[in-house]
Amino acid sequence: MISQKHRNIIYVTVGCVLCLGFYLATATLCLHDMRKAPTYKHISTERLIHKYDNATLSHLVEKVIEIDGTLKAVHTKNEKFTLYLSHKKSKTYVLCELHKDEIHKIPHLKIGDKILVKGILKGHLLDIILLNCIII
Amino acid sequence: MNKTLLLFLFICMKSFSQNTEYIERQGEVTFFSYTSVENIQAKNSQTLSILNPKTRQIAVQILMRAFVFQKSLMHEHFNASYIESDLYPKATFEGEIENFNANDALQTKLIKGTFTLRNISKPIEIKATISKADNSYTIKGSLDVLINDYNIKVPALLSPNISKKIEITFNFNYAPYEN
Repeated sequence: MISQKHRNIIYVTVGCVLCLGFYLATATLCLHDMRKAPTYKHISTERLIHKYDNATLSHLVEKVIEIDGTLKAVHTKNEKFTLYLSHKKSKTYVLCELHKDEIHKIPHLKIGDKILVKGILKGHLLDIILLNCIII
Repeated sequence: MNKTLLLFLFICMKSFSQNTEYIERQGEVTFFSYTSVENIQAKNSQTLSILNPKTRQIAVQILMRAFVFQKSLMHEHFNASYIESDLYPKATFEGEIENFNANDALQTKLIKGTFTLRNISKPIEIKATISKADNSYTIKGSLDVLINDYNIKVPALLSPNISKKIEITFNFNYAPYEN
């Protein structure tokens, strides 16, 4: 005979496992979504910065794009990692905020590496901003 | 004598050429809407801000589409219905820190300026904590924004879910700006 106390423990444990499973499934699905999301456009960092300079970026906003470019820096703040891509001596950067499941790839990156990133273009301020980025 | 003069000129030129502006490219801005029905929170980690300690001026630009919500539907409503991010992609703040001392390690000051959202500008005052370490500054603070002030229209059906007063917090870490 199972006591009420044991039943409660079982209910709580099952509840926690279900919540954890749901969280992991959602997180995995989000990452897979970006991997599987159709790429609207493949573009170089140089070309993207050129479009920014000429104010012709708007048609790419909220689109999934792939960008190749040179890694200039990796910045971290409050567990958010952002890759800085640029072209030659341009003062404009393409800032790619990484999806949290991509963070394990950071130790393998070197400044000056040519990399290919996929993410959602959100617009620009001083730099061009992409979120939910994955390294491919 | 000539060497002394040259050294003096070099020091003068060096001090004049030093950066007077500081930049934060990844400033954090979070907003909260608390109601009895639902709590909504969104965070933007790509906020731009420039601080000029000499003139005490500060400027902030927030890309509205860069707010991240817990639910994608909230993100959609926020950009499409409330903020209309296609028409008004940025919010801005321009202001001045009152009685700011660029050399104090820690100070709490009032920042007075103009906040512009959806092309509507309102004067605001923000109490902020400013700290200096080596060659960097950190500014943290919070403010409340009334959605009616910026003509943000919430459908009657969703009105109980969205607070009339939105709490905004920010955290900026500035480094010298080499422009």
